Amino acid sequence: MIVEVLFSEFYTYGEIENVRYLAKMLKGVDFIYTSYDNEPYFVNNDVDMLVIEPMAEHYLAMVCDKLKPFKTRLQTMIDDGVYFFIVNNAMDIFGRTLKLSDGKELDTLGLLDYETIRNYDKRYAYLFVAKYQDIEICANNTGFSTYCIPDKYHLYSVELNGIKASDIELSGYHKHNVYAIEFLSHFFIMNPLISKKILAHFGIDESLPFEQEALESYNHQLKLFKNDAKLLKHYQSK
Amino acid sequence: MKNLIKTSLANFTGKTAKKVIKLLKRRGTHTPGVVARKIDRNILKNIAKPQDIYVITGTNGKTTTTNLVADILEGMGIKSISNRIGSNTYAGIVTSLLDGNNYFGKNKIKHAVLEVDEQWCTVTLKDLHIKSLTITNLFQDSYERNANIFYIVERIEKGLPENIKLILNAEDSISAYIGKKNQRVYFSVDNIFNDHEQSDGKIKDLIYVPETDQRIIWDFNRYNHIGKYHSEDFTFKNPKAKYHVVGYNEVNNNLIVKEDGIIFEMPNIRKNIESVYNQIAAYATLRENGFKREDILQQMLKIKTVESRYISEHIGNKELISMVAKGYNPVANSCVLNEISNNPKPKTVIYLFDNLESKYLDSKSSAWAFSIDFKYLATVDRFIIRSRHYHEILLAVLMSGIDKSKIVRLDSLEAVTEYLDPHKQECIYILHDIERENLAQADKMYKIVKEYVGKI
Repeated sequence: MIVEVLFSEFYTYGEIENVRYLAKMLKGVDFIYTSYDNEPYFVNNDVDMLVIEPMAEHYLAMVCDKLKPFKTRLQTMIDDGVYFFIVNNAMDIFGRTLKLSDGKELDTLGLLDYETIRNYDKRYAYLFVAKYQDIEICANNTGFSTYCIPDKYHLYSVELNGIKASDIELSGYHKHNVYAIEFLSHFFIMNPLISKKILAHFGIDESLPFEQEALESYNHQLKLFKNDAKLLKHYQSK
Repeated sequence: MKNLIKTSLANFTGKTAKKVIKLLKRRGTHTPGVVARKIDRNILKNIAKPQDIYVITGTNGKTTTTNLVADILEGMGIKSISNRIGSNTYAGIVTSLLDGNNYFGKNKIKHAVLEVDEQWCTVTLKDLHIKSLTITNLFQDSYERNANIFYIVERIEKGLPENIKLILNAEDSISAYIGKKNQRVYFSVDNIFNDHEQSDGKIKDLIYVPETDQRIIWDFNRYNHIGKYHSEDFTFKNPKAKYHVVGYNEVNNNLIVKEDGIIFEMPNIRKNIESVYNQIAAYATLRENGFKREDILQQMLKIKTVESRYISEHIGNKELISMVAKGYNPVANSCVLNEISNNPKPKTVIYLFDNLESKYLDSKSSAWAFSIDFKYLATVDRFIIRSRHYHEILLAVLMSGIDKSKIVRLDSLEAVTEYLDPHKQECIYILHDIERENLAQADKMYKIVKEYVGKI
């Protein structure tokens, strides 16, 4: 199995650690790190998974330009069932459109079926608990962008969130093997139950790196989230 | 006329609010500005202001640099107003300006030294009519609020008047290029303490020459995107600095500075690279605003680092050091840990980190913790954590390759003595955030450790 990590030198929010954790999780899997001054490995080779994590919007525009010539190849990979793991604002360049709040439209790859609106004057940051299948996910959602995703592509339901009067109930994007998540929080490290599910999915019979600490952290965080008066207040006001 | 009355009323009410707050023994660094703005929405534009306003912004060091400039002016016998304790948003700035006015709204003081939050530059700079803007540096900061450096650059550019002088850090490969239309003057610090030539830190915000896929060549990478750099064809390189720290004289603890070709010595306030940057930024700010070199240097001899931010003392076989590691600021934390790792003595680090102002969870991701270079703890014997973010910090530390046996979770401040070895000769560092509640907590911890060490 080959995982290609795209342009990790640009990753922000410490999310490179999420990739490093994934690499520790998937023992025996080849991780190829493609930097911006190189052609992506997937262009001439088969890969099983592509990973792209958040970066400054300034760099996202550069990355979008870099990937544009390979749009058809990326579409074929999606259709062929290659796994895509897209995190937080990296979603901005994969949707159908990307509009700024002043009406200006920016380029995207147009590969996934959603629209993005980016508002530089309204940065949000809130905690939330979501549910994927039977697993609760603890996360934080931070950014300038909101994604208008048709219900049929939603990945998880939002159980509890810390943004006032928010009516977001479904979120994330899932089509074929493309998984796009809005939230941050070192997904694989902070959500060990999901990570264990991923290991099982790929037939890897191993424990997670720092599994005990990760589970303690997850349980602690879930308890904190569910007992925080502010989070509950916002949830009840919905 | 109507506007004049409104502004006068805002001034009067704001000043009265400040007086009342002071009678209640509160600091009142923010609320008077809020009150004044409620009466006059454009109070910052309309209020009477000092003739010469010097603004200092940047991610790290802006409070210290502001305090240095204000202290030097005070030492010279020049009255100035300043938001010394860091209330650096719109309301905080208005509150400081009220200090310079009488109740009738007339300004009494000629100079102001103001720290302005980077984000607030957008809406404050144009109304302030400033003489100079000093940018100490720009780094990744609170992700939830500040997003990333390029966003902050845009925010500053958006509010930047073209007629003001910029005093910039020549080694900051991002903020050095702010204000293309402005007059720009630079300060710079060579590798005077013989640090590693190439930083191995996690965060690198500029890897490629802007608008290209050519990698920047770093002759000296102090940390992040700070250092001596150039592109392959030398079209992109450090701007030339007018104020340049070229060396350090260990014998008399002086910095060797080159200013426009003239070399002289400057008293060093603290042997720490961030402190040297703050000092040269303060010096450049004063020089660019017409103050004499000899007067500035004379005042620098008398200055001590603000105590709440750095305390150090020897007690028996221990050296006890309390210092700031700004919360949610991975770069500041990494710099502090790097500094600690360079100390060859055995050491224990007590890491106090919490948002003590609120009983609610702060809407933060674990991003700040996973961005910190905890690998610098490799030379630390014990890392004691007191934080409700313990679990995230622990995972971030483990991911950095640090052995779990070194890490201790502290359930109460008093319990710290259980983890200190009375017979060991070592440095004990207490790292803390900058808010009032954090300073009080750090102070309490300092007293507990000091008392325990004193009894040994």
